[in-house]
Amino acid sequence: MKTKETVSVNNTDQWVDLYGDMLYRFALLRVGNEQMAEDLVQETFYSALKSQKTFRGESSVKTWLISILKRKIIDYYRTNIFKKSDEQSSENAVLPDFDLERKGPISWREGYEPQDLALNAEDELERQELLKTILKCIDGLPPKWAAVFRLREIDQRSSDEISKELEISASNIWVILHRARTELRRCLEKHWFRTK
Amino acid sequence: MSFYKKIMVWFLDKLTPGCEVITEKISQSLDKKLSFKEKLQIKIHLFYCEFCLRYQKQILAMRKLVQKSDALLEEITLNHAQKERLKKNLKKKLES
Repeated sequence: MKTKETVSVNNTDQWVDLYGDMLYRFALLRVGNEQMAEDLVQETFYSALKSQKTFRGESSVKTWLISILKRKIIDYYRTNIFKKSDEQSSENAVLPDFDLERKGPISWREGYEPQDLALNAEDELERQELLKTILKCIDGLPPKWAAVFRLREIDQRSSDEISKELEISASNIWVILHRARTELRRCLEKHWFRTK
Repeated sequence: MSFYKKIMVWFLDKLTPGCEVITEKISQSLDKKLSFKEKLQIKIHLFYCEFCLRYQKQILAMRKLVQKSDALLEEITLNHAQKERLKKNLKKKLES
């Protein structure tokens, strides 16, 4: 039998050094909160240590740890963001972007009409800056919208999968995504450049 | 706006819903298959509404970039204090 990679008191330090950054980055991009991301990384290592006997070495340690972390993130969304008791749903609020009284075919509210933004970032640095601006805007969304948006756009999960994981209907997900995108677009307009 | 253009816009307007509905459909087109009618409505609307066209471009650009988050932001790392804390807590947990 092949020897498996195991963790002991002697090499947990090595695990943190090897996989800590990768797990932390993964978590932070999905929960948008440094303390929470750190907690999730810690819990992931705990679970990995507890269940290391079940790790068959069929996947890489990295893939295995990420799969544990993904589960933790979904649990976090479910228990902290989509609590059943939380009846207040922001997805029913009217979007300020549109003026339904406005005459003519175009119903964008005056002052809210999308402008020509410079989003075709050419070099890596500019892409990173733009991405950071978008991520900041995501952090400003209502937590439910942010969670659904991250699952859909960062993790590229399908509406059906998100629907099963979070126990909300697919049509609700589409409403949330539309609202999130509309809000993000507007936020980006405030914090990014227009084309010259 | 010329008289004919006004007439045309009025006519197109009768064919498609307002921007609040069209942006919803544009957003949905990123998540599911739309019906032929919905696709046509979007096409007609985008023919004369540059705002919704920008909306579409912007949400697509956001998608493209956000998908690359993990690769683009490798600069996100644990700081020294966080690393030490994790190591300490893990050891404690293992010994208990």
